[in-house]
Amino acid sequence: MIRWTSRVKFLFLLPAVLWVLTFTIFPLGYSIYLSFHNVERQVVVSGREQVPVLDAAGNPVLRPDGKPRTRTEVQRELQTTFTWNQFANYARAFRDEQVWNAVRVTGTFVLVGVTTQILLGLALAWLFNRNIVARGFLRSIMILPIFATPIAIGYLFFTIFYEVGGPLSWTGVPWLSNPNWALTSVIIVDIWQWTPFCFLVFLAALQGIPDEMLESARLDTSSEWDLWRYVILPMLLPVIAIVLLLRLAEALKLFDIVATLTKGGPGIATQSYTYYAFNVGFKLNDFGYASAMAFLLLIVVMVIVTLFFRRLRQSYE
Amino acid sequence: MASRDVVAYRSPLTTALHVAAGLFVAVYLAWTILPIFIMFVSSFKDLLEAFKLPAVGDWGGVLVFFDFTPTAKHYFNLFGQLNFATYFRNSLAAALGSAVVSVVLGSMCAYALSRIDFRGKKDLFFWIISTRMAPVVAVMVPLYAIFRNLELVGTLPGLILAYTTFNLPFAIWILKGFFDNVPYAIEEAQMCDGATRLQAFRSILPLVAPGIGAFLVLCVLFAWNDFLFASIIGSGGAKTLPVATRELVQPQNIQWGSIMAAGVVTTLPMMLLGLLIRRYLVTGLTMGAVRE
Repeated sequence: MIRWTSRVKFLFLLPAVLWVLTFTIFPLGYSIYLSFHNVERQVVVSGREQVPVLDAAGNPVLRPDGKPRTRTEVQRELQTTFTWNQFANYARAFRDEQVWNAVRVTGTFVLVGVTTQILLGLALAWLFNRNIVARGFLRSIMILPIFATPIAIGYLFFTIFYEVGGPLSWTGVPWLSNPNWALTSVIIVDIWQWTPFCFLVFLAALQGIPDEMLESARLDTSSEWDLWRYVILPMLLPVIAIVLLLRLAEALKLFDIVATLTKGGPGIATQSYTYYAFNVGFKLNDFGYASAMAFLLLIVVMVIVTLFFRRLRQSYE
Repeated sequence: MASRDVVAYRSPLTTALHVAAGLFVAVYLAWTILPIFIMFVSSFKDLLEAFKLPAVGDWGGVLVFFDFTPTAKHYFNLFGQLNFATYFRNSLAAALGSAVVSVVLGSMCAYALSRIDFRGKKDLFFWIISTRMAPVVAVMVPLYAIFRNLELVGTLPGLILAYTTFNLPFAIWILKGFFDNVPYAIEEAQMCDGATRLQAFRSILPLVAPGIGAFLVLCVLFAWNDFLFASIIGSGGAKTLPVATRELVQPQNIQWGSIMAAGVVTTLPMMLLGLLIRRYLVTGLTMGAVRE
């Protein structure tokens, strides 16, 4: 293999690595900094100035005595103050009932949603992994939800779950107005969108199992169950783990569907962790507290990713 | 009767199971396609028709859904009065811009990573992939602060920068997989003939071009569907389709037809693009862990 001159090496590597560094490590550092501070943003009057009043054509409007008419313009400035408050933001997060509610909501969403998606995906992949009519076409239809924009899907399901005259109103179920049903509805939308992803990946994995292997296994057993239990499932396990990891990482960020379908409601019944942190940051302008909350989520996700990667490295190499 | 027919005897139980399986797939297909179908149909409905009232428990009420006169006025409204053409362009520019930057920088980095061994390479990899999985909200506040200071909030370059942040790690990761599949021999032969590293890199690009193309589409898809970044960094001057869609939801007199039409305008191009690259979809969506 021909050696790399170090100059060329840097030319290739540096732009991308620098970019990722600048936009991840630096903001992350800043985020940690913020999370230990009480950030107050307020609008302060920084000055007053007399400015001439202009008419529509841009000419100064004159007073009856011939001097230009003036008005006072107040100049305002957004002032941000940082006060170091040690671990107060973190302590507050652990005491905040809304945080625990958000943890419960996100936890339920992740557990129920991701489990259902993986089981349904496995079942569908198993059914599709044989000669059925128009398999390619049906598969293409199946995977359409993956590409759908979550915002659009959220509003679409809002109209579907609409309780007065929506297409599902005949069921009489309080889809969005009952706290438990609202969370169920959010989970249903996620299942709708992401089961196809699990299905697609599992189908690819199933098709990747060599035929000879299945044939020789069929000589030993006639039961489809044994075939799954001892041959197919062990081979699928790494793939299931990867799908689980990707879905977990994604589901923990639940935001778009909640923001459109339920707006966190009724009350705070479907307020997910990200949705709450986002609102604290950008609606209440409490940057310090929002950063602390976001950082806690980051730690959780990183722990999950690290645990999985210990096991999964081979699949990625 | 051929002997095969005898062997292929099915017990009634097997037949029943087959029917059940077929039914399950059919029901699942219906459940997948119906919401999309409803979105299309509703986008052609007038406000009053969108919410006709079937009685609770009335199965026939479902038919009411199809009782309407189609109108394209929502689409005219979106593009005529509500500037959706601009938002569409913004979405496209932001998504395509970040995809191109990610793929250009990413392919160079991925190529180098694929061809050089150095200490800590695996850790670098782990770090790259974890930036892709990390929750966006963790860097949201600082990014917003930084972008505001650089006066990038509400501009297309700001959005492109933001999207590249999450597309680039992904690009490096996937493209490295593509380069790993290209034999060294090609570049070695080129470089023995006096080509520079950059020329050698260019000579193998056609081999990975289909993968890169498919991957570009995937980057566009991720950026296009994003809402979190768009609502913070893009709002104002660089409103994208998801943000514009959200603004259609007013406290009163919500035009659901318009929102559904906006949904169709946002979703349809991505579905078509997605189907276009379905051969690479599994590799792309699992970050190269599963190949088809």
